[in-house]
Amino acid sequence: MTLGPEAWERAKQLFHDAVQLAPSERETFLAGTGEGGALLDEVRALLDAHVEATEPADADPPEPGRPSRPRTPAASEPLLASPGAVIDRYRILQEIGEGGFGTVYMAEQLRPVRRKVAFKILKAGMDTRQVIARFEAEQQALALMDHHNIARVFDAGATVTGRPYFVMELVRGVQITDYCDSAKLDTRRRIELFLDVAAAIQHAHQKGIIHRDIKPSNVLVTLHDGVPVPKVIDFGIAKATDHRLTEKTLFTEFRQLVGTPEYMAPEQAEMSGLDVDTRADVYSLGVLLYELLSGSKPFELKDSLQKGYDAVLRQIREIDPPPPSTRVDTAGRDVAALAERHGSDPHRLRTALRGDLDRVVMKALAKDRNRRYETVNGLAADLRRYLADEPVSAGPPTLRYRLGKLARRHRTVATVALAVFVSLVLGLGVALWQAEEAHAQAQRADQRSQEASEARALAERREAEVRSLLDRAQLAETEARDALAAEQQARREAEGLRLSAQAIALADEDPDTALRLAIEGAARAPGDDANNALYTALQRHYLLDTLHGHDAASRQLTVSASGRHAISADDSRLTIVWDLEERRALHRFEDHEQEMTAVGFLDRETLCWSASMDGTVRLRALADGSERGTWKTGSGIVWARSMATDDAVCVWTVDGRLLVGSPADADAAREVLRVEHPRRSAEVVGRRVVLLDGSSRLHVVDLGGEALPRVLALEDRDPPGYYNVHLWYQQSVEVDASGRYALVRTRSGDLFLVDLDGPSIRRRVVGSDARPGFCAGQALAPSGRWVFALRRSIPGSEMVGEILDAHSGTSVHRLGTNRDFDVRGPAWFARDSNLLITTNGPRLSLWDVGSGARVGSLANDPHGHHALRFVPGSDRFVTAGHSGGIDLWDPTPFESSRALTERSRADGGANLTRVSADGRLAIHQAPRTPERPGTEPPRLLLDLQSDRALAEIAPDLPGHCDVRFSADGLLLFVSAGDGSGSRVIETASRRVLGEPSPPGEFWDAARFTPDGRCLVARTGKEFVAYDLDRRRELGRVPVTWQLPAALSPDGRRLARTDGASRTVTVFDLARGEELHRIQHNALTFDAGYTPDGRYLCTVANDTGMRIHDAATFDTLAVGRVPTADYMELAFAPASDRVAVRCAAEILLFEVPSGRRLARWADPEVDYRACSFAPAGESLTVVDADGRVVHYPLDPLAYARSRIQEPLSAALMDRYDLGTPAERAARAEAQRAELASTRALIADALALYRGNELQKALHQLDRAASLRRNLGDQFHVLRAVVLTRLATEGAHDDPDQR
Amino acid sequence: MDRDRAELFAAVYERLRDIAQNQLAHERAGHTLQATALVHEAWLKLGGQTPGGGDALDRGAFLAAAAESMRRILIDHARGKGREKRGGGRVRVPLDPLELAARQEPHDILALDEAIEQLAARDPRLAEIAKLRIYAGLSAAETGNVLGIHARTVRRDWQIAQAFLHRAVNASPQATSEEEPE
Repeated sequence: MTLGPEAWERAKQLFHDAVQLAPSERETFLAGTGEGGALLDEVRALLDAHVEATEPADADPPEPGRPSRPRTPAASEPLLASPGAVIDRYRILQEIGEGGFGTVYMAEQLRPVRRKVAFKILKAGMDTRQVIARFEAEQQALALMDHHNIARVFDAGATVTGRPYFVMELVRGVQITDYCDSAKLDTRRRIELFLDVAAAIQHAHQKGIIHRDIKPSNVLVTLHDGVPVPKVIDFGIAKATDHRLTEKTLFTEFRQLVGTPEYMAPEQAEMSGLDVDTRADVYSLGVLLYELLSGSKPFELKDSLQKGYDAVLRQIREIDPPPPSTRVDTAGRDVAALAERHGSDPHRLRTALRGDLDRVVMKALAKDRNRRYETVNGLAADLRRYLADEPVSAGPPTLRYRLGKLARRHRTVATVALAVFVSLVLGLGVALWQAEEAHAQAQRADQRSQEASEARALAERREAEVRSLLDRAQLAETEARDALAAEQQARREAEGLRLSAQAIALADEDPDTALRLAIEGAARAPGDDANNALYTALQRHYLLDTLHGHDAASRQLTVSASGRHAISADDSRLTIVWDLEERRALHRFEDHEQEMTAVGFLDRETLCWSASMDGTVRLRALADGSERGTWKTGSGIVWARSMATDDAVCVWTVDGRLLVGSPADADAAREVLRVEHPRRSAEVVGRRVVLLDGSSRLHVVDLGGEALPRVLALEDRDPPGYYNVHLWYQQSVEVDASGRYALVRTRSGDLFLVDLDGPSIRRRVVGSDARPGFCAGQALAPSGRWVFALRRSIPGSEMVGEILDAHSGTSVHRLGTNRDFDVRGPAWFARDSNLLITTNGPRLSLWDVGSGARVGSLANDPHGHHALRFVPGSDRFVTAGHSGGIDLWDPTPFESSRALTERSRADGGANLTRVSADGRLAIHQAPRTPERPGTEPPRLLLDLQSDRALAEIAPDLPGHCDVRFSADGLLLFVSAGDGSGSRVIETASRRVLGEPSPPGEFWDAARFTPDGRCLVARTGKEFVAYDLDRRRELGRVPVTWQLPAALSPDGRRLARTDGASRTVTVFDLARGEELHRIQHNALTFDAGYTPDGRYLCTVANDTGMRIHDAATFDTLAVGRVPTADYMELAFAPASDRVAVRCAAEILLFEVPSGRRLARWADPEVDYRACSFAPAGESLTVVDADGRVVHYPLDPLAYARSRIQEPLSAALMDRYDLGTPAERAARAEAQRAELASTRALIADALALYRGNELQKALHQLDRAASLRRNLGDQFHVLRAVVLTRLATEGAHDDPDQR
Repeated sequence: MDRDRAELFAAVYERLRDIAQNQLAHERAGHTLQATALVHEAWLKLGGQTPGGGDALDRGAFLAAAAESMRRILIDHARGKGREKRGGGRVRVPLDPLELAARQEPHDILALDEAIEQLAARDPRLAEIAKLRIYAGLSAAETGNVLGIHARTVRRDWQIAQAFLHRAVNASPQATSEEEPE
């Protein structure tokens, strides 16, 4: 196949020509060239290689050692999705459509339920991992959408060939435009159908989801009992695929159109990075409406498409489409057909569209999104007004239009008001003049009484007119001012709502910006939506701060025992000591000559040290950074740690010496051990040092003890084949907090748990005699109980990340596969909580060790984090990033904890029969066992925080018992099912405070009053109110329905829920008489008094919750509650809030206004209890997973405490905030700032050329202080100046010459 | 002139080797190094040594020398690791030597080098373009400047060079077994 030089040139030429053609045309072209076989073969081979080489890079590059999967040639891709093929848990049935981005199949889901679904496989050319990551980020929000006009998106994943796919609800329907035409719907019915679509989109917007790709093919109409029901499909997909109009999405290489740009809003078409918000969907809906009404799209982009991408962009951005009604005229010969499809005639159709509908559509299609409808609701409202023959808000520019606009645009308001005012003043002037004149005449005509009286009368009339004009003028002015204020307020609120929605949409992607937006939103429009946005953003706001100082990758990091300080070192040998509380750098050192090894603290954090490969340990005072000594070990240090004695550092040197000493007294250093092949794998716990050498021998030294160093040899074997080459399995050792157990990974990837105190226990946790363990990542929990391992359990299979029981090696939780973890990446168990943190590229995944659930995913440094240290005593941790930033994280933004710990986890929480509302205490009781009938397993009172059993509760009460906590968890009521007694127990002391029930009576459903003095319980037939202080019954009321009753805080009144009789009856207990029946329209569920006794809340299956005046029984407010799964009411101590807990959501209302303040809803979460903190500052929510979250009740104040600096001007611009004047001022300020930084950089360049390096640097630093984002010129210049300053040193400094 | 070039080469080589070795030694697998960044750093460091601040070095000559240096550094690096057989089936070998180095696939670096040698035998100019684009991470326009040809020509030739190299690298006979060693 060797070609001569001439033939090669010819081959190159043919390659160039062929490569311009579409792949399918190349063969024809080559065949027609008349060239010979060898040459053509060469060209074909090159073309094939070209196709392969330029194919988009595989989404996940094969990691070393992982078996690479065979690449299927592009041509055979469709075979994969041919009918019958099974992809993950879906069986492909048939193709049902093909679009620009992929092919849609009908498929059958096989697990966990069998159902038909729509299965969409995207075309090649997208970064699968990103697509799926973006989808997952949105999934939470998508799950919240529940609307009968929205097709649900179930799942996303990747095919074997790495293409992303989406699984959606299968909708058997036709495109909305086709349906309307074939059903010959008239304009009105088209609008009605469109309104359903708008409602769906509005619903999504309220959940923070923007569709981004609304077009007829994404709106399908199905018939339900003959009624057309539109369904919007593909939610979340446009965002996942980063649907944008680019040259690439618009055309293939060969100018074949792929995208549908007609429906795209101008801001989506622009690549300006402007954020797409809900108004982009308003635009797309506008296009859809245009097409539905007029039968054509606003633009026919065919012409501009031929002119290319730029022409398309220009058309979308700049050219206004003709109003829909004119399309009837331009339809020409087809007009009759068009009208017929619209169930009309040409004239009627034109008339119907002209005017209001034209204006509504054109308003939705405005190029500037500020001129569009602010929300989809606005558009829908106008259409509804049109249908009801009311004037639309998108009115014509007449007086009515301007008056209509008065409510919207305050500038217009001001103008109108001014005009009215001016005309009035003019009128006033004339009238005054006339009055004056009349008076003058009257005086002149004093003698002529006839004239005089007439003139006087005229003067009086004029005066009256003046007064009336004056009044009107004043009125007009007040009205104008009110309108202006109302308008400003409305604008502000609209802006606030938009910000809140944007915050929710952004929360997963960029929680920091989301929180800032939510704060701004709440400041503008406080309320339910704003609070939800705040909670959503706060929930994900894990990154507290990034500390800047390192410019190179920082790898060494230590957090002090108090959690107050941290010390870090980077690749450029810079060491920084940080104050984590004030979040600033305290000291910087740069005096090591070689790579850094470790950093740490000594002597109760008064000293810090740094060790390096240059063989020195340098010690400094933390207070002032002064040098306190240097310990020269004489050989490079590979590993170093502070000793638990807090006065010495233990180091391991390149030549194998293990030394213990203090830099302050270097002479006193002693050599403890000599171990060849130092490995950087060692650990110190207490006074014990454990070293793993290169021959897999474990050396255990107990310093200060009598015992001699011990050597434990671990069975080691060579890793097979290429693993050796790849240094796959580096050896490593970790020791638990007690210092007793060590986890060792050997070269063959086996994991051993070694009992360092035992005779010779080394259990192989992973791996067996027969085969190595292939473990490529591990961690040992400080408790020594759990091991995280990333291993390959079956040869050739995926690697699996698991939590194993350290002692038995059995798998406890399977966390994921190697797609979820960095192979060979580090992992960390928290010491003071149940967290495990693993890495996956730049992302850190947080796992709950107890449940194996992923509880969070964080990332800040795009290149990953090298070191992670927990802040002692908290969930917070610090990471050192590849880009140098030191990040401070708080993975539980709301103070929270995991209540279900070891004991409760063993049985999955099923035996926690009661959890106190604050999540602190629980009753644990195993079910009765059939083997031992009659014997009751013990009822244990658990402290969930420490997982200790505090006491056995009422062991003397036999059989089944009912147990209830008081709302504050301070009291416990226990009663025996056989009527043999009951107890009221103080949980703190376990003292029995009372035994209220009379013998033979079983009391259940007990409820305490807030002060714990009284309780109400239910016998079989009656409710009993009981005073615990006086130890006497307050009264009894017959039971009508088996629901709990409510006792007023003073114990005088009892509210009985009557269920099916739709009433709540209130009794006076002392007099034993009925006071009032509160009538509902449906089944009543519950009632409850506020702690101050002023209000009574009732819950029924009609409106939800009603707030009544407890004295007059007047209904003060109604709060809507999804009553189907209502669980309980919880009251704030100050009686100003009530929380309504349902199975899957919690609603917070203000009392007595009934205003909804917040809503927590997560279909995944089963809420078990909720209560208010004693001072009412937070709401504690306990869920079935045992998570206890304390939500601050003033989320705005809490958010502000986490984020100090306000929204930056850049973000304000990005999110389109403020009045036009404010925006203009910001733009002006930015221009000025840019001009002055430019001037400074230019100045610096001139100084640099004049060799005045110090001055140049000064100017550059000034520029940097002015502006954050500076261009390449700045960075290159600064680097050059710094390099020259460093290399030339002081002797070249021109200032000193 | 040749002496100048040799000196320049020596200076660039030494500087780049330092930077690259430092990076390679510390880089965690999975992080892609940027050839451009390395070369840029070397440029700053070398450029800084000439007083006056102007472009004392001929940037074109520097880049050519940088490309050649990077090639040698990486090959040395790969040879140092030994020439063991790589397991696995057909892995798509990226034409980014630093990514290869970071992945510790010495075989691939050497295979790429062999492929460039083959290309040089067939078409020296294509090989020159490939070295600059691959080892110095230059854009088409920069490559054109160094070689004194138009960027368009570079792009055209790069297409074919890329195809050639891709074929040569991926057609290596080593790709055989896919079994996991037991």
